[in-house]
Amino acid sequence: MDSGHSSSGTSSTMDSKYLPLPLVAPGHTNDSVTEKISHMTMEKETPRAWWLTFLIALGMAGGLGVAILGLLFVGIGLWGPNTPVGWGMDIINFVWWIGIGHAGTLISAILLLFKQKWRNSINRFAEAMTLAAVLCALQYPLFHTGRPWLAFYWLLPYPNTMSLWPNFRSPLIWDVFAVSTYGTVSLLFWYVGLIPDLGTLRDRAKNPIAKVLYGMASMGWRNSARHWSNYEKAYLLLAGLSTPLVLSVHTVVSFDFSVSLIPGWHATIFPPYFVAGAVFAGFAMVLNLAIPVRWIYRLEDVITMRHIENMAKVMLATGLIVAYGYFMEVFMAWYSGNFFEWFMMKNRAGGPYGWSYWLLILCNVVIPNTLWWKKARTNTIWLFIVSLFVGVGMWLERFVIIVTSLYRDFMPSSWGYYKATEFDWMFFMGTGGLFLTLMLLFVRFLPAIPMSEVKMILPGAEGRARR
Amino acid sequence: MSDSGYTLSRLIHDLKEFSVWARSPEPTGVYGLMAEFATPDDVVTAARAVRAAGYKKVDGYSPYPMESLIHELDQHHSWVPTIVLGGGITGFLAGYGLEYWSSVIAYPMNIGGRPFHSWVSFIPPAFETTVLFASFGAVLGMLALNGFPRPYHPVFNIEEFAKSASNDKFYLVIEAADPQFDGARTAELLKTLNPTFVKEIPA
Amino acid sequence: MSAHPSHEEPVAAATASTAPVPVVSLRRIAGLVALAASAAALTGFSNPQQLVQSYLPAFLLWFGVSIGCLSMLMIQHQSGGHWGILLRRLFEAGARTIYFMPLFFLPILFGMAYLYPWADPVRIAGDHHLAEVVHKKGAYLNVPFFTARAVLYFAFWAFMARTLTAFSWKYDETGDREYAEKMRRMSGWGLLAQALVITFAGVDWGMSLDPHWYSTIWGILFMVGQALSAWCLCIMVVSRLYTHAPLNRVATSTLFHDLGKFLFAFVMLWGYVNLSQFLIIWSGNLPEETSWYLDRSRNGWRTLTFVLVGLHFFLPFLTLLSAGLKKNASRLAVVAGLLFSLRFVDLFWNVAPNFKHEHFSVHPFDLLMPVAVGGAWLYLFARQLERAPLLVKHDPQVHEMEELAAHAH
Repeated sequence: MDSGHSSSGTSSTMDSKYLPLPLVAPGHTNDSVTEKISHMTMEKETPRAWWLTFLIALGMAGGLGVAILGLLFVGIGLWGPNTPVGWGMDIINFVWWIGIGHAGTLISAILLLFKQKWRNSINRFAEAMTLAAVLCALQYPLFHTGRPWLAFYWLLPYPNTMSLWPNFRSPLIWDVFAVSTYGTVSLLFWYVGLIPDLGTLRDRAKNPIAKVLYGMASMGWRNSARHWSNYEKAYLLLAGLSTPLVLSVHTVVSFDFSVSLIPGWHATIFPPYFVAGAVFAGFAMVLNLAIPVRWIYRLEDVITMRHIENMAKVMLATGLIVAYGYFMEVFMAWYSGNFFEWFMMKNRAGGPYGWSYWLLILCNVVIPNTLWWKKARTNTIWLFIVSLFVGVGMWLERFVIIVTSLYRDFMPSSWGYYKATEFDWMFFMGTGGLFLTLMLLFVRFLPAIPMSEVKMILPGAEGRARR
Repeated sequence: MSDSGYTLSRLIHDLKEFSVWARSPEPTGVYGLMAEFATPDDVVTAARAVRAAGYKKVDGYSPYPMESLIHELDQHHSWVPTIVLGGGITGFLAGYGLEYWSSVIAYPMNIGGRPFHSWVSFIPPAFETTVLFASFGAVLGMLALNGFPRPYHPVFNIEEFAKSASNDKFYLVIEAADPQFDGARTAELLKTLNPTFVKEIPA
Repeated sequence: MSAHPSHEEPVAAATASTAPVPVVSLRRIAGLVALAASAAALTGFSNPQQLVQSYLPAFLLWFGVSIGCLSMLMIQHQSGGHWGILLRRLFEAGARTIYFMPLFFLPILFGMAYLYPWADPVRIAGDHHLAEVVHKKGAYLNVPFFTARAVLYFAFWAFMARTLTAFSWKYDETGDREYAEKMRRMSGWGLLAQALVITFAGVDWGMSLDPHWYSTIWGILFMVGQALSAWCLCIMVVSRLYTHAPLNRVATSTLFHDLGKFLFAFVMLWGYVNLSQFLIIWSGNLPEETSWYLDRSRNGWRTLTFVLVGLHFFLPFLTLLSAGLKKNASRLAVVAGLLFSLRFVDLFWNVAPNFKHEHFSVHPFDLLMPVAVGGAWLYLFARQLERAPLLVKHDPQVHEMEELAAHAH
């Protein structure tokens, strides 16, 4: 019943270079896994590096507060969007953040359904990233309304005194449904996954207040077989539900653009192309977070090179799908014989914003293609750099789609130019700070790596991962 | 596979389980007997032996989900999928119904020349509500079937259990409510199964 | 890219393959069906237009199975997984049928003028809208370039199928894991090229039937459709083979459960891609795009649309929710068989309205052609299956699977 390293039985007959790297470093037991991961939470003294990053992140998040206050007092004139570019950094950043969240769901749900055991160390972390990213994304649609406290009656369907109902034929309302469902289900998924580990923390806590808090959060979990049976069913079903859900979210986001008539927006490939781009950016962000955390907390034995390399492979694959999308846009704009489509394409690559298009190609197509080589995939420093490029590239992709499609459409007399303001940038930096703050708090107070699931893939565990 | 054939008595049993948190402690003052095991293999073997001896109210405990233990204790069947299906159907009907009612009956409005009943446009929100309700079904169903939240349970009276059940040890508990339960004889049986200890659980 | 093409003729692994009974009978029956149906089709030479127009969807269906098998072969080399071992030899045999596909393509090449308006000078002369479009797209849509592209596509596919199979047989022969690595590496860039080749083939052979119309998701529609066709066919075949040696050593109900889950995922993906295209075009409501769906929402085509949505999506979706059905090979094969026939309906629905959008009709040849081509395809497939043992020899996963299967029995 040797499950964790399935090929170890036949290893002696084979050249060792073909053996997969272990998912958990040899020598770990159930107890050592608990020790290692619980220590990252409150049990040990806070590392100085944590405090330093936390203060910086908190300062940036404070900038978000200032930006919001300014917006509420003055109005959205503080932001850059203006005719003809009615959508600017607010929606660019919204789409960027939502996309980043998608990798979390992909790791926790889709890889679970595919029985990819390597997800078991990084899923908790990725899910937390999803929640933080969704929260950051939410700031933009909320505050672009100018007076968010008045936004409810045209966003949410509830019986109000004006007898108004939202327009369900608009993709913006679909967005409200998709993103709020996504946020809620991600929270549920994350929480269900945490329950057994919260039980572990409760049993280990020395501080009576911590014990009570962890105890309440774990709801009375006691590791019984009956619990596990229901739990496993619920967890698997949530994964099954999250998979189409995560596809639908970025699909709906792509509908925001594609159901319109603007050349550069109205393209049938948008749904799968947006989903792939979201996962691409999300995996880049997971790597950008996991590589330093792995280094600071010495997690090389639970987040092994195999995890890192697999993530790099997913990033390469989704990057290639995105590149396919870019190519199809160009080819169909030409093949269509449609004057406006072809003009949009030429203007995108050769117009005043041409630099953004070519920079995007560099970041999203050229640099990630180095990941074809194993050397590049296993070099964490290079991987960290590639991931940074991808993050920038995916931001640029939304910039290119939104701005270069809008600023020169059918009528040359109404052409214009878009420039983001300081407040736009402050808001963006602020959400970055909020994201980092939330992630740091998560690493500090909750088990960042699922203990019960790592134990499942230890040799001889006879758990779900056996099959 | 033993999860074929779900009998009526099993249903009644499950419904009783559902209200386990409200049950008063056994009048005997003994909840049951607990045996601790060091390895997963031991607890699975023990579970098989105890079930073979005819005990029904048996539960196993492991720090991570173990297919084999769940299988030995015949606890494969779960109502969670049914609840999820019900949630999904409810969510779809609620979402589509809301869209139809508000766009066609309560507030019909010509927007972009599209029909009031734009079923194509109604698909994405109805899909989202389907997933939302189904997910709540999964989580709330799981919590309810496990009898959560439950602040107190007698098994935690055993100090070793409270410390190690969620870390690295495996346990088997036979409840005193089992018709076959007999303090000395049951303890004797458990002791033959290679436990690290056997203890009585005070209620 | 060290995956170097092997230049020696691939030879079947040393162990002379004794094909299981179902493969032999498949070859015989398929051969007879092909002969009978082709003989019946001979009567159609008085009406070559109808013959070619009925032939195109049938060709797209069966050629799509070959290409789908090649795509799935490369996907399983990249992803790993026990399902890949179970189906690898089926995928390889299906992919090798591509050698014969240029022959199957000849009727389309010779009947182009009946199929593609842009290749028919008579129609261009009589329709100034068409003339305008052909003028604009002439650089891409012209007969010499079309033919040259087709040659390239077939050359690529034949090369991939041949090389991957050669590596696989060499691996059986020598047990050297380097060959597994070669197959994996080749599948990486192979999939990228495959995506592009399928897209262009889809544009050439399907989308250009209506030279006005375009849709950027079209290539993905083709990829998903072909993978689904190949998957359905392989489920049907393996459901007959798993009780015979050698697959009985590794087959378990868990494996069929996995095949069923993938089938479910493919059905969802098919629905997703089609809904995306429809929703975007419906919302945009542009005359040059939406006419494509208008053609398919009138008279009999409308009914066919509902049939497609109901039987190609909702029925398999609802039946495949059941875990019991997915674990049962013969019941799963029934669903796969139904879906496979719906794959033809889908292609017919995509292709035929371009020829007769004013009215809906089904010519006897429309039904005869998929049988004739299918018989021939299955005959070739069975012959390819006989060339090598149905289970690979050296992959470490084979031992795992054998252990699991022994445990489950």
